[in-house]
Amino acid sequence: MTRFSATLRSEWTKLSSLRSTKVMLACGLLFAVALSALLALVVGNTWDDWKPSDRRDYEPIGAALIGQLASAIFFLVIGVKAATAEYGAGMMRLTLTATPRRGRVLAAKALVVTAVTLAAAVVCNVAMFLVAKAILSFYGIETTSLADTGALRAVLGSAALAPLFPVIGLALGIALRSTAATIIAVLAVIFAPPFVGGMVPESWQGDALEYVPMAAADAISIGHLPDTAAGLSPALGAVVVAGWLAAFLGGAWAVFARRDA
Amino acid sequence: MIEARGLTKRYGDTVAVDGLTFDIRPGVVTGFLGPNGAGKSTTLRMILGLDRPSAGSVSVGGRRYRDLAAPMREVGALLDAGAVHGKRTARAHLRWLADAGGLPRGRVEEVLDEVGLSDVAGRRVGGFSLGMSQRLGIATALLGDPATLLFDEPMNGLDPEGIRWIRTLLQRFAAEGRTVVVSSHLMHEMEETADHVLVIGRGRLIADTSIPEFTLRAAGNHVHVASPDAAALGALVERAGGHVSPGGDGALTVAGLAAPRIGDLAAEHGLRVHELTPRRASLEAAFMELTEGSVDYRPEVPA
Repeated sequence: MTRFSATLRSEWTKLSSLRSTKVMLACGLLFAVALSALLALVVGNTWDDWKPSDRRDYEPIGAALIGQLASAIFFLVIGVKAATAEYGAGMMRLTLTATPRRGRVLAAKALVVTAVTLAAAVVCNVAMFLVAKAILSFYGIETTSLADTGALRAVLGSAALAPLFPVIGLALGIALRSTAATIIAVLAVIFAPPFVGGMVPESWQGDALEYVPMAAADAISIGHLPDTAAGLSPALGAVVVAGWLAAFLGGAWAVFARRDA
Repeated sequence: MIEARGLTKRYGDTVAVDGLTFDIRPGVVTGFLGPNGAGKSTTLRMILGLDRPSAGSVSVGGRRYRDLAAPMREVGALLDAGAVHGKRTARAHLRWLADAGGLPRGRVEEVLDEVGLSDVAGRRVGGFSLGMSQRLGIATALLGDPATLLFDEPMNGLDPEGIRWIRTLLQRFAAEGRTVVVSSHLMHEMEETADHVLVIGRGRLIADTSIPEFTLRAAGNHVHVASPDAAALGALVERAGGHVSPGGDGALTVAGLAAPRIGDLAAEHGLRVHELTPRRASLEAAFMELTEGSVDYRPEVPA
């Protein structure tokens, strides 16, 4: 019996044998660190002109992790491509001939995308944090150490949640089969709720916006930071994130298992 | 052994495969013949569990494909040689497949060698010629050393030497006792490759027979007739129940009427006949006759 570990190894071989994966990861790291460093340089350069109240409000942990805006895009593309790259030329048929259990293919892809983006995010986040801290300390601004609980929760918590959108991208990619359509769909998942929410009277929206994937993820990783609006508790956030993952992957599986390949 | 029972695939109102029932036996090369759009690829995809039958069933070695314990060790398939990620090397492409099937990586080098791609194994497949891609596709089918091999149009894009190579390969696999299925719309290719043919047209099974029987079925039904009075003779033959088509150089090819009868007809009406030759049908001609009326899109033949 061909085992799940075989499917897992196969999906890993697929991802690691493409130069584009390595390019995406390298770009993610590079742009993330560059963005965080740039912000730290701007802060360091202008610090002497800051008002005392601005200095008090400055939140160095979140600022150091600003580079995630860049790395998240590259990680997302890795997740989406893990699905859609197989549909361009019809390679999915070969995949499903080798592994006819479709749920197993989807699960292996999700695990490999999770592992790769998680590992990359840990490296990126730690690098961003240390580089930003080093730059600020060069300007004589002392910030929290990485060993500090609050800092560690933000750095590693954000890394732990970095696979969320790549896996959602994978699920949508399996369902939609086109790279462009999938990227647009993921962007809609990220940006549509706050955008639409902004147009609806607050009395109507209640706390619904706290339950969207991005906000639930933030509740876990950076909910403790002072400038983050208090949302869900970390535990409830984790439940909500797990629920979203189950919903997207379950939906993808339902389509994938029934559709002619 | 592949067994299909009432295998049917419908897309909306269109019936792509219409109640196919057949057994494909091991030890011989079975040609799966039909014009383009006859339902060959759809049938192959259903055998491989990729497309879900609308009705009926098909099994490989007594089981549905998706229930096979180790599919790559039991069935090897080449559906579309272009179904690769062009940025991967040939070796990397075969490696992810070997991994998926739980096969040792050593098989990758073996099949690369077998299809003659060892020298270009480190090159990206996006730059491969059609023939090289076809060889890579054959290598993917051979990876698990399976008892059943399915090839969809494997000779596409191969030069004559490549065609001879794959023909020998297919016959060797059959001689080893494997079940070998080769689809094609090119009849003359099959004539020298296959031992047995399944002919389908518009999704229906038209013939399930050996190659000699298949050609025999139509042999004698074709008569080459050269006559200066071709038009008049053609009309007579048609009236007598024959089917006339242009045979080149003003000659006629007559089906459905034997040579003596045509000669008698000509004599009765005082028409001249310069040549009257019964022709043993080629597989191609037999195929054309059998699938007549089952071709979806036919160009208008100018009168």
